[in-house]
Amino acid sequence: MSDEHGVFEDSRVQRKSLPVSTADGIARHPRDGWKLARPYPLGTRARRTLRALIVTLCPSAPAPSSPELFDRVELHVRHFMSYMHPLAARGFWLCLMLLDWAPRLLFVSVKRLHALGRKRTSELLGEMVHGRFSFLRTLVVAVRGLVLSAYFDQEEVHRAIGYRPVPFLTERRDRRRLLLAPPPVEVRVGGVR
Amino acid sequence: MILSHRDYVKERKFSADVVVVGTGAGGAVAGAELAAAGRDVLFIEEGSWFSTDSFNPYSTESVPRLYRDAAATVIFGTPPIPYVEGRCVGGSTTINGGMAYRPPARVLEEWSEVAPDLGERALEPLFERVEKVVHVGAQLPESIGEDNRIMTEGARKMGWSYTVNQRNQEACVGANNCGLGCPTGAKQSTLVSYMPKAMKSGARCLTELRVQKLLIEGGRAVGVVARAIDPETRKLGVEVVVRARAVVVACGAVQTPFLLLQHKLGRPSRQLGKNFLCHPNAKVLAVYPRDVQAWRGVSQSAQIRHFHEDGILMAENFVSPSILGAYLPVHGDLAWELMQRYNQMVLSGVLVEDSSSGTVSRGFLGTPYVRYDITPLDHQRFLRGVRLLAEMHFAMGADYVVLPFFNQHVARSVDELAKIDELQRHPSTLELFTPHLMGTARMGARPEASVVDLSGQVWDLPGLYVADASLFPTAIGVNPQITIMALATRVAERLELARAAA
Repeated sequence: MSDEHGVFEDSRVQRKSLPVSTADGIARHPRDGWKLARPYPLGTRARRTLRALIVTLCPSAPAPSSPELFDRVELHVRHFMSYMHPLAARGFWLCLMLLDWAPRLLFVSVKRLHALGRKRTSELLGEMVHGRFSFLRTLVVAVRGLVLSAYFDQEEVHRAIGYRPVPFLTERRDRRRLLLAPPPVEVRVGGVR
Repeated sequence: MILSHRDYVKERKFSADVVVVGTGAGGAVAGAELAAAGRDVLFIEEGSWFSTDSFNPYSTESVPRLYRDAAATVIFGTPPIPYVEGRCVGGSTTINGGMAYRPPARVLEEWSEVAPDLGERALEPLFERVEKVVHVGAQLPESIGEDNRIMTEGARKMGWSYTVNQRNQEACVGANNCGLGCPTGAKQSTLVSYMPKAMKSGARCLTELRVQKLLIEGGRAVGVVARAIDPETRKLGVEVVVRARAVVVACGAVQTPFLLLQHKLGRPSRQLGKNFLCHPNAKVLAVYPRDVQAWRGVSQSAQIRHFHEDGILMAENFVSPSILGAYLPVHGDLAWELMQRYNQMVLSGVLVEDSSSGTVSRGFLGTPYVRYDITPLDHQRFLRGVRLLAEMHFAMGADYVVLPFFNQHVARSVDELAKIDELQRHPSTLELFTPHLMGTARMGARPEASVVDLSGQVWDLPGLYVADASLFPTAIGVNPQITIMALATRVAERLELARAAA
């Protein structure tokens, strides 16, 4: 009833280009033929700002915080942008540009955000998110949500906070299979059970 | 037959008895019923068809795969409200929490005033029918997580009534990955219930196609024009034309009016896109002094319904760290300090039944523009609901709670909750969210007051039917999927009758 593979076999399938997963574990990228879209194209300046925001918004050591981890976060943010409505993705790019210029526009510093340093950038974002202007608040909340979502999806971060979903899900999947399995057939040999 | 983007290079013209746009709670059910009645049904789905064993707990891949616009969708207004919709075979049923509730009797009584056909007695057999197909029932006790026990125990302590949730599941073992696709196949989304049923009856499904417009000839809907989506570039590619004797649109309460407004439909009442309802939610995150490990066990096994008559519903709803990360009110080392206690968290929410409505219109450059403002009444309901829920967590021993107000994020005691009334004077400080979108093409008996008739057919375009949450005349105050399924069954039955008569 819940097995769509069985149904495909029964149905009048003339041609099936449907990718069927062959994953035997719970893979981050299932081998079902599905491709992640190309990362959204960002110019040097936008990437520089995004990187500065990632370094500021993500926790520092002792939390997982390697440059390689930040590379992955950046890549995930750009993948997400590819799936947004084109207008929303463009808006996100504009949001990055506005945040880069925010220190000057708000008369906080002559430097742009990417050159401000982690501590000062963090203070500025904190002020913006608690400030009076809902537009600025929305800019920071949007970027923060996307960056932290990507950060807290990484394996080393999961390990550090004690979240181990793969063994748990595997165990639950096996448990359900057992629940739905037909009861074992009794075998009698020579009258002795 | 299931096709995806690469197939449309060769084959670009299709015909069927009925083309159904969307495969969620509305589309899949309407299509499956029609296919079972012997009609040649062809589904069009914007997302892809993913198998159950491809679902995983990683949001960086699952959200782009399963959610519309990678969940970067927002309702404009005061406050702005992020919303989510599924974009995959199964639609939002693939990513929802699996709640399976009928609307309360008072809602159906209100609906029966619109038309007796929408009353409790008329809908009863339809509810029974869909509940049987999607296995509505209570959870196995061993699948329930510690966070749910805290919530139910908390409700008992406060003297509040709570209800064990009815869920569309079959032998659910509490994997708690509902929001990113059920990896065990227990949740009976339309991906594993109605869609296989439809395919078994010979339906066809064209995936990775976005419908651009309706085909209208001689004052009648005769098909749709769609374009394939390249999965790597996300750009629209080849055009596909599907001709049919009837078109069923089931794209949800935002995308359905967005498509129909293009053709200037809904003229008799001018109600198309109006009456947008969304059951806004506010999250209350409690941090306990002990390990709860809320991710181990089913989400939402019960709801606190003590305040339901006042339009307030409370429930637990735990999510993965990355989804929680998207809603954190802090960043940097403060975010880490908070998330280091992930295993001690209980995430709960307050759902408020809309007292007003918003609109969906066609915005700039081909985007839907959704507008909705919180009323003073709903604002007060939120303040009350959040305060009560936070008090319950403190009564259960929480160290502190994270509140959904941008200017007051943390409360460390019941005394601090007293500041809510003082600080939260305007709805703009609320941080809300919603997965329930309803009511933009309301069903009714009179063309001057509704968009579609009681068979789901658009008053001013014969051959065009709507079968999704857009049909709701009012908000229902509970999770909408079962009601959508029941109304979609009704639409299929009446469409079938109309075809038979023709």
